[in-house]
Amino acid sequence: MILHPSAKRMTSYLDGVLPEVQACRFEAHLAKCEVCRRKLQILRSASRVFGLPKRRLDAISESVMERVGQIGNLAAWNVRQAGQADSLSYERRQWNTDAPILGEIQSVDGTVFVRSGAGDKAIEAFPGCALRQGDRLEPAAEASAVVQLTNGATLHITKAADLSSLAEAMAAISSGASGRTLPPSGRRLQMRFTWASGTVAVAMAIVLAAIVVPKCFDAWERTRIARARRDVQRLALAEERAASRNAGYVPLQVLDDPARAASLTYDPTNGTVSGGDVWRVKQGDEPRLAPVISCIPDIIVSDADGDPDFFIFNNALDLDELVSDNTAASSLLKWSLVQSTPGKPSPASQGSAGQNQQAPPAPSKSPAPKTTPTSSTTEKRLVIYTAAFSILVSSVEDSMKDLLQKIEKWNGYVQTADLQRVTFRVPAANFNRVVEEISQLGVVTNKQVQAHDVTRQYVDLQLRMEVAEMSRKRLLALLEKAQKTEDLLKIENEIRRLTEEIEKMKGEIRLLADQIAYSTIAVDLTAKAAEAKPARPRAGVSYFPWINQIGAENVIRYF
Amino acid sequence: MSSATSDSPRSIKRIPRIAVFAAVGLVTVCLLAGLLWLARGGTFRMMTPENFAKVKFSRSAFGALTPQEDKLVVRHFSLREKQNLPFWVDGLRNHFVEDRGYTLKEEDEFKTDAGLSGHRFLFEIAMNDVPYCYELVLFTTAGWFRQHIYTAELLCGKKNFDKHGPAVENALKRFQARRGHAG
Repeated sequence: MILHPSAKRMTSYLDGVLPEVQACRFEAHLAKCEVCRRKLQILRSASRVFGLPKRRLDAISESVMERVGQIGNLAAWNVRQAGQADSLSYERRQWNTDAPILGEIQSVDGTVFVRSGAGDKAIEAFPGCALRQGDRLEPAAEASAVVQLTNGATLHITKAADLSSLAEAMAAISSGASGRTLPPSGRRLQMRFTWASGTVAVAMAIVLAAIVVPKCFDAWERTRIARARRDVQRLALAEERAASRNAGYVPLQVLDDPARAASLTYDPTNGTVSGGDVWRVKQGDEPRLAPVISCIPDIIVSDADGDPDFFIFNNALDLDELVSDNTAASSLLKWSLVQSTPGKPSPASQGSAGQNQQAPPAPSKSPAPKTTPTSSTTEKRLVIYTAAFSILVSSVEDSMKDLLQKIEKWNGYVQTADLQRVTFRVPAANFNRVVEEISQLGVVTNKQVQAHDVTRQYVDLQLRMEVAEMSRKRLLALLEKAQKTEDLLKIENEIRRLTEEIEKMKGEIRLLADQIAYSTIAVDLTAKAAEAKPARPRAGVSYFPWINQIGAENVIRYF
Repeated sequence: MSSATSDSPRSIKRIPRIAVFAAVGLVTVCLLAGLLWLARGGTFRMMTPENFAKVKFSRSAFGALTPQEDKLVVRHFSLREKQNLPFWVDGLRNHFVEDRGYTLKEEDEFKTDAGLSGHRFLFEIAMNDVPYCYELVLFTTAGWFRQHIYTAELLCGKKNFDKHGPAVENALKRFQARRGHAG
């Protein structure tokens, strides 16, 4: 019976860690045993294939190694010694396994040797053999090999090749290829550009662009419209302010190119504009918007009074375009325009716009003298003041007497009074002083002071009344000239209606004037409650519930 | 439908036998406890005094009347507040005199034949301008977690008190408290 060395001993032998005595015995056995020699060859081949140190092959069982040895291409990996010398001495040569792999031999035609380092021994190259840094390929006569480098390049090595170029190629291999270790299988992931992949990439880019670009344009358009709306709102506010300051006239606005706007001339004496197309905006009941949305004017034209009369927008955006684009904006932009040429009003604008053109925007130059009170009343606001107090006092009677005396001192008069509440009126000029003094009557538990601005209402009433009076005067003049009875009746009815209306408005004006002139103050006096004497809490009731259930009263109640 | 009918027998089979025993034992214990609670009787034992007729009684109260409709009421209160007899005596005296306006005529200790100590008050009150005597006897016993208070109240006309007072006193001598222990 022959005892064969174990796989562990073989790997130890290959690693060179087997003691000298055991190594000699093992070599003596190998010289006689063909089976162990084959196993040794398989182990070496397997270590190359798997890229593992030989000592880690201990884990591979012998049966696995037998199967590996049966693979056809591995059987061809017969390692030969260059000079057909003792194979054992060659097989113990230490390969520089730690050196980085430069490439992998793809195919070998003929006999090509791989020489490691400066040693004079080599192995025959085979497909799949790793080419490491420091290795040299030496093709035999008419032999060639193809090496796939780790950097993707392919190197063809032939006998006919120039040795110098071969040396340079090897140097390039050594310097260019980094020390990357090939995977054990020798397969690499290769990214290759093809027309199909390129076409797919371009198609994806087009699709993405088709999706993204309209979105970007929409967002840009929405931003533009939002900005335009905001500008329009600000412009409307500015026009509102200008109209209130200029007796209802809004400034002229120019929709033109900068050159034409610069050539625009304005004559403040008669309020005419020349040198360009001018859009005049008519001010109605509500402020109307101009067809320009730039809120910061480039040129402001003012006359002597300093109020802005023109706003010239060089970069104006036409709202017509905006309205046609956006339906939402159309609801916002409710404006009416009267286009006029300087000195030649259009037929549509000959009515009110023509009248407006002759009127300078400044209040002092307003054509309607009726608007003069407007400017005067806007300077001084007409306010109705009212106040209500709830006051805690020690004695209601004494406080009431004191208050009534003070009302006379304030030049006021009592409207209503009872035991605790009094409503009186004092001149509006004394209102603040009266409020302060009332607060000192006692402890104020409630205080309400209101100011109601009736300027607009007052001015409207005045204007309406003046217009009605003018109409009535004209009717009276017509009445004198009228000859037909029917006309006389109609004119008299109209005069009667106007008279009633005028009297009604006069009454309202008088009421407003009275309320403005005298402020109404209501004072509610309440006596302070006497300090309650603390009574014994829960008199007749004990904190112990059971005691509350006994007693003569409960005995009677029990039956 | 079929699954429901087939599941129920399986679920019965899965109940452990020890759980059945535990449930039956628990129910039995609860029943016994209930029976004991029912069988424990009233909270006190009070003989009806002579010349009185028992008209109302319950587990914690007793009411009797004389032919003149003088009233005797004995009640039991179970309290969380545990205090001794002098505490409650002071409390009752203060409450009736100060808060309710009763006039304290007499006050002394009272002891039953069974050795239970108590306190006796005799108040005089006027209701509808009619003077009445109100006698209150207080007993206290201490339980494990609560205190038990027994009150005996006699309300009668002033002229009848001398007639019915001794009978009530004799009956109270034989009063027995069944909750707590004299302490």
